[in-house]
Amino acid sequence: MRLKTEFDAPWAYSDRILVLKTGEWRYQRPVVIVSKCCQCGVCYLFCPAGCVSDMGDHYEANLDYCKGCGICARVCPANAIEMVREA
Amino acid sequence: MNIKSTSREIKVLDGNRAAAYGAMLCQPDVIAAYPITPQSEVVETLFSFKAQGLLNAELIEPESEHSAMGILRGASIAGGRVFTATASQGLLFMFENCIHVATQRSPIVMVNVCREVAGPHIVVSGHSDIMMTKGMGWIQLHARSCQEILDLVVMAYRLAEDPQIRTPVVVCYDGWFLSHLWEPVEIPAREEVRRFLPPLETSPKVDPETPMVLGPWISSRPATEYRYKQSAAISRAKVKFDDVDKEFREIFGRGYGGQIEEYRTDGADIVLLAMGSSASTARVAIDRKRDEGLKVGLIRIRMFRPFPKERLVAALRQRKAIGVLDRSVSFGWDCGDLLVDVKAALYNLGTNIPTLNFICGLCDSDITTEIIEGAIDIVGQAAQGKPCEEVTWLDLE
Repeated sequence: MRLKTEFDAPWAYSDRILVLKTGEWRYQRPVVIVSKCCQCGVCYLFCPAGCVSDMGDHYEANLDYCKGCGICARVCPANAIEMVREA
Repeated sequence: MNIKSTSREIKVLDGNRAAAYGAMLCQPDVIAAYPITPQSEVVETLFSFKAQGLLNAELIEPESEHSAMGILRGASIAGGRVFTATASQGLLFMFENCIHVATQRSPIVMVNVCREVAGPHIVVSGHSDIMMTKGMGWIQLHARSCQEILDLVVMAYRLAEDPQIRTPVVVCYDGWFLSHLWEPVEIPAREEVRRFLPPLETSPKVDPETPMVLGPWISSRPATEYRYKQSAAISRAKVKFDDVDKEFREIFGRGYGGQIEEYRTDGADIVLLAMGSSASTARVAIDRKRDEGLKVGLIRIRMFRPFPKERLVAALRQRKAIGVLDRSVSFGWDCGDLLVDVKAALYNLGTNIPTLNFICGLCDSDITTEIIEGAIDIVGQAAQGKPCEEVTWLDLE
């Protein structure tokens, strides 16, 4: 028998932690129209996954973790986010 | 209450105070416990030790047993030596966290004062609490006297903290029959305990300098590996317990035989198996039956998890009949919990030794010497080839 785990208990180094990419569950993704974004940050506050970041001139979701729920598009006061179906 | 650092002394203690003395001598860093009948004096005594300056531990009384085990879970992964005590409903309430700490391989030591679980609403002695939690991945030890309670708590730390084992240990003793029984107990000197139990060194542990994660989401392969390693570590505790017991005898002058304790089994045709305080009563019954000329002996299971199957099979190999005293019911098997395990162990013998089960001492029922002598008589008939009921509920006879 060949064991791959280093420790006796489920310890992991914080920089090597195995992460579940919840973005793989998505069937639609938020696409930001940068020219319309007023940078109010409402999408950042409402994102249940906490995966929206301030990109300087607009906000954008990290697609590794965005599950495509569409809340950001719904709450955006500038209508700057469109939900686009994944291929 | 005082404790000498270099010399032993004898005090009259009940089982709960003996457990508290055992814990105090091991100087845990964190104790989190919620009082519950019949365990409350363990917690009271530990708080009293702290007030007198005999204990340096951080003592926490949280809002529940679930939280108590949660606190120990954190304290343990930070490298602390920890202790708690519970009983019955409290054990069931902390059950979820008990499994977590077993998987994370925390060397926690807990005392469980065995009490029947409700319902009906009963606050009485019995093994149903600890039997319901036998699969939680802990090492389970059983005492039969107040002295052994103290000694087992000290030995439990050696087992739990062994780098090859690193598994939580629960020390069990019968509610009321032992928790509130007063006996002379020899209290070891602190220096001796320090020699027997070196300071705890754990690795890895929670440390801000090297951030690590414990219990993250992982896939099935490593999760299965952790189960495999845990199972192997728990099994290693069997031989280790025999060694620890021997080492304990060398330092403190008392030993109990490790996984099982045999009493007058030399040349015994029939053997009684018991666990906990009833094994003390059984010794008197065995003595009487030996005086009558019956070749009968007693084997006490001290370690119920891991189950001492190798030593048990070796000790039972030549017997003509076996009687198993059970203080709990395995629902679905219609017999006691101990019988199920004993029969599974005996399969490897290849021979069919008549093995009878006596359910007794449920819900505070007394297990008297007369009751045990009656059970021995039935086992004696089975040894002579007479057909006997496999399971007898002695309390209802």
